[in-house]
Amino acid sequence: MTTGNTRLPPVLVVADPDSELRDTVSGFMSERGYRVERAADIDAAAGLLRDRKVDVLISDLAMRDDGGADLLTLARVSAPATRTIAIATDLTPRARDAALRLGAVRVLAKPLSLLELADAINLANDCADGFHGWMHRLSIVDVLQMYHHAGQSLVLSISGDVEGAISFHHGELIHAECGSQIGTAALVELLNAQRGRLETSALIDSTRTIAGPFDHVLLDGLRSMDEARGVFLGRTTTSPSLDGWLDELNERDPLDRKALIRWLGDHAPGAGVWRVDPVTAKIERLDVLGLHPETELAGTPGSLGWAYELAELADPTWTRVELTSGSTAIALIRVGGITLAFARLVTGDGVHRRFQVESTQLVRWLTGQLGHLGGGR
Amino acid sequence: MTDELERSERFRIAVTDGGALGAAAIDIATRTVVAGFAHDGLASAALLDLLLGSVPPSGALTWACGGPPPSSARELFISGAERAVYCAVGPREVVLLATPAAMSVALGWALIRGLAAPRGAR
Repeated sequence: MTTGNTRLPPVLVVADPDSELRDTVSGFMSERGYRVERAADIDAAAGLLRDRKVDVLISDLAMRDDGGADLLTLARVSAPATRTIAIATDLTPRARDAALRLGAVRVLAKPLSLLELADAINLANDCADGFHGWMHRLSIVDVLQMYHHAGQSLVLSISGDVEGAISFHHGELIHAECGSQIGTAALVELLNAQRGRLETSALIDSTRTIAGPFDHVLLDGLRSMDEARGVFLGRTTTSPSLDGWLDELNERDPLDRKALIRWLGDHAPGAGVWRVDPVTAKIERLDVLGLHPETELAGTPGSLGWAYELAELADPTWTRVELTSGSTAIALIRVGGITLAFARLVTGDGVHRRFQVESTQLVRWLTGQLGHLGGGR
Repeated sequence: MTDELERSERFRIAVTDGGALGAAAIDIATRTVVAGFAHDGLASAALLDLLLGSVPPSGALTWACGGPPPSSARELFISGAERAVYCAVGPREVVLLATPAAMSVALGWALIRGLAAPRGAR
């Protein structure tokens, strides 16, 4: 059950003696969906922490009570569920370290960048459940698998050998960026990193440049790394690990992927093929798994969903749809309960007609492979 | 014979001699049939709205691909259990053709491209 419409806004307390800072942060974060309370001194902040559930506390490290205790220490005792962000003028490494040891999610130096502060607040708000802190000796693949299995939605930022970010949505990889690269190409760059620093933040923008189930995307990335390192000897050779992976998939999948990949290499080089699950809206690219790297379409063609909606509207019994829009031609083919998308860039009438011939041939091939499974749906 | 009658005659011939079920040219701005034969039930208003972009696609698969694509449709073919529908979208009109599902797809494309071609190109 969703409670999205009735969920109360998160409560943020801004504790700082500077009234201009309190007002600026309050206005900025109110526009971003937070209920903001202001506290000019430690007594006012302690009262707010005592009287209500506070999700995130921003505290100036200079705020101390008569006994010399700072607000982070008080918050840790009186409101342990509240996540804290420490801010300070002339922040020293010792003060930063002390704040982190007191549980601060982030420590920021004044003057504050409002966007940086908003990122820290969103992260702190996102830390309501689970742990946060420092870990080391982790590989990127370990961390990716951990967040996948936990079904998390967040952004993993990477710095060190390479700089970039990987976004998760409900445990699935949806986006990667690294330098000028995005999508799977960026993921491959990031997987190559051997050392550096990992940092997570809340997922705000769910831009999608990667499609397909986590396992396949990750395997794809690792395979590309192998290819770049020369593990693959040529286009017609798959690695033993890839063969094993494909064999494993074939054991539970009526679609013979290895045969499909070979068919594509022989009959439709340059085209892309995706498996589509209209019920879960999952899209998995098939052709880059093996012998068919010469693909023209870098990402999922945007007209895939459009073609599906047109088909469902026109004829719910559809088994084949072809839609040409702009420079992309896409065919959706439904055989034996499996829906595949087949697409290529069409740069002229000749290529367009070739696409239609390939689409027809693919229907025949799939019918031979899967027709025994019954109807199209 | 006027141009309109001549054009409707071409649609009639395409349907009767080509083995199609119906065909029509529809004005995109007014959605009126400007030429055609046996065109009742050829395409619903909702299908035309989605095809011509007056209603953008908005389903889960569309959003999984990054949202509605910016380009407009040029050609559409949908094959179902009973019939196949071909659409060719031009600057001012969309031409629709319905054929039996078992009819050759290549013949269907040849028929609709002939109906949609500019007069001088036929």
